Amino acid sequence: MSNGAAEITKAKVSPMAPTEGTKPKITLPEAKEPLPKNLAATRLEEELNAGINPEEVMRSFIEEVEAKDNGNKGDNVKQEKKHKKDQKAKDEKPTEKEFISKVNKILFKLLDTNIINNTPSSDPEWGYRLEYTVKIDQAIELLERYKANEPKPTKEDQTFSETTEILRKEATEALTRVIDVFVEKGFLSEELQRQIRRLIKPSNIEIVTTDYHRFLYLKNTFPEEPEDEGVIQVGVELINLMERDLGRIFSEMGIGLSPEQIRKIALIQGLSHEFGHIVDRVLRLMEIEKRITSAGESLSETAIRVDREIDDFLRREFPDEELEEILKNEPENGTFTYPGNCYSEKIATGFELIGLTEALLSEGVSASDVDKIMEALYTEKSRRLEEYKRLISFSRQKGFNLETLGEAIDHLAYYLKKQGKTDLRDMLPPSFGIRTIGYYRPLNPDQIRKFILSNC
Amino acid sequence: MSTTLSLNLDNELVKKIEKDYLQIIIDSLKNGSLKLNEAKSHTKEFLSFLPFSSFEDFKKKIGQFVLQHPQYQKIYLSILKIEEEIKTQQILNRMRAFIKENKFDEALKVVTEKK
Repeated sequence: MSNGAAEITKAKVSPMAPTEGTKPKITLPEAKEPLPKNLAATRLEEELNAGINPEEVMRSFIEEVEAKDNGNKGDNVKQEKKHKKDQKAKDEKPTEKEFISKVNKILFKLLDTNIINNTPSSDPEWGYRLEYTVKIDQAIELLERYKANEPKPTKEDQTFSETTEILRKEATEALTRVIDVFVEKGFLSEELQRQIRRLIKPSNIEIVTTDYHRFLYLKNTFPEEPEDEGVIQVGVELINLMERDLGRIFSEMGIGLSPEQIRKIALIQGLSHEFGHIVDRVLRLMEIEKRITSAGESLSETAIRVDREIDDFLRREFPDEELEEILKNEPENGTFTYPGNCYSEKIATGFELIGLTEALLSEGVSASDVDKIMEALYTEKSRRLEEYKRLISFSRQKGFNLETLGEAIDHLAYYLKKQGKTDLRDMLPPSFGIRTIGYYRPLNPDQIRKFILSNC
Repeated sequence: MSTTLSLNLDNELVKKIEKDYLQIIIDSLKNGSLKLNEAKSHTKEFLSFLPFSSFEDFKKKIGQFVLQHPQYQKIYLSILKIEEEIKTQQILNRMRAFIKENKFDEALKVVTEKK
């Protein structure tokens, strides 16, 4: 959607790591004690002398002063230790145990055992020289081993018993509700609502078996015929996983909701994410339409220009230090390093959390419990980001950048398909690169509002 | 050979300037010439310049920063000094290359270009 004219948007929605067996914990922000000027200076000096990256020192300094401004009390020594630990973690080789995410664990193993390595190679199938080597047979063997060790789904996991038609109806109702929520909350002007209706109807839902949902629309202009309209594919497997994870959180917090209510919340959460992609797409289509009638430029040129301009706007208006830090040693605008892909997920995940909040409240969850759930989700997102950064850092130690590693993963995925091993595909990340960062660093509601207002 | 001099932005150079910047903060906090909140807001501003897209971008942003906050002038002077050193080194390298090939006139031109 954001990177080029006719890209299929595939948005995986699994904010609570349903596939990875993680258990969100509610952690309150670490408290800090007031920071006198001299203590701050001494600490800065110590960190500089300890050889910690000066940018990290600056960020840590800002955080501590802000914590002081917020009047937090507590153990700042703990903070300092955490900071030094983070830096140490960056420089040291991780172990497999440190990775909770299944796909991160496997990627770590593929790199650590040199099954994927940075020796250039050639592949007659691909016809050009590759900057890496993938030992296909060994890779498949490793993926099969991990697959065999995966816990088999229990009866409880297979809760989904509705027919496709009932689920389609429920998903349509959920999408209608999602649109209402964003209208009620003032995110969508009448004009924007009208334009959204040009692209998709709430009933344009397809039920598929996948563990992700996705919004599909291939054209750079609004559809002229109903059969060209956008479609949301709703993945049954993802609904099951989200229901299971939401159920676990509710049960840990002592919140009693029925399976039907949990299903409804899961659907609204997932469809809010997809709706974020829809709004993003509509804003771009509107701009393309405006330009094409006045500019005399070719459609694809205009589409690419509009994408670039909107993506640049997002990066400029909502700068993300974590993202920029990761991009520092990466090629500009590669397939796996194009910032627009990250912002696309930042927008969609921002929508998702707004939708989830509203769904929880409308199912009777108290405002304070909603806050706690959100806190838990953000904590989990931060943990996942740290884990991802650890993987990136390790791949750099092994001579890869994100772009080359992404290509190597695609290469392996190609051979899985070619050799009929498609059941192993879910052992590799569904999408790789900085797009993933977007799931962990969503835009907040004010930023989403600003994004819409500035591009509408 | 190109007649213009371009400088690559070395990550180590950025780190050095960041360290110098932090040292000024440390000294100023210690001697009381800077308040904590001022130090925080200057540091936020400094971080907002990252990443630098080129040496020119780096020099320009730090130059503007120093105009706003003259107490950090030292870091801009460091950049100018380093720039001069690198350029001089580049010129010498180019001269050496010409001299090796017995192209003395071209070697001389390199110096003239600099002026």
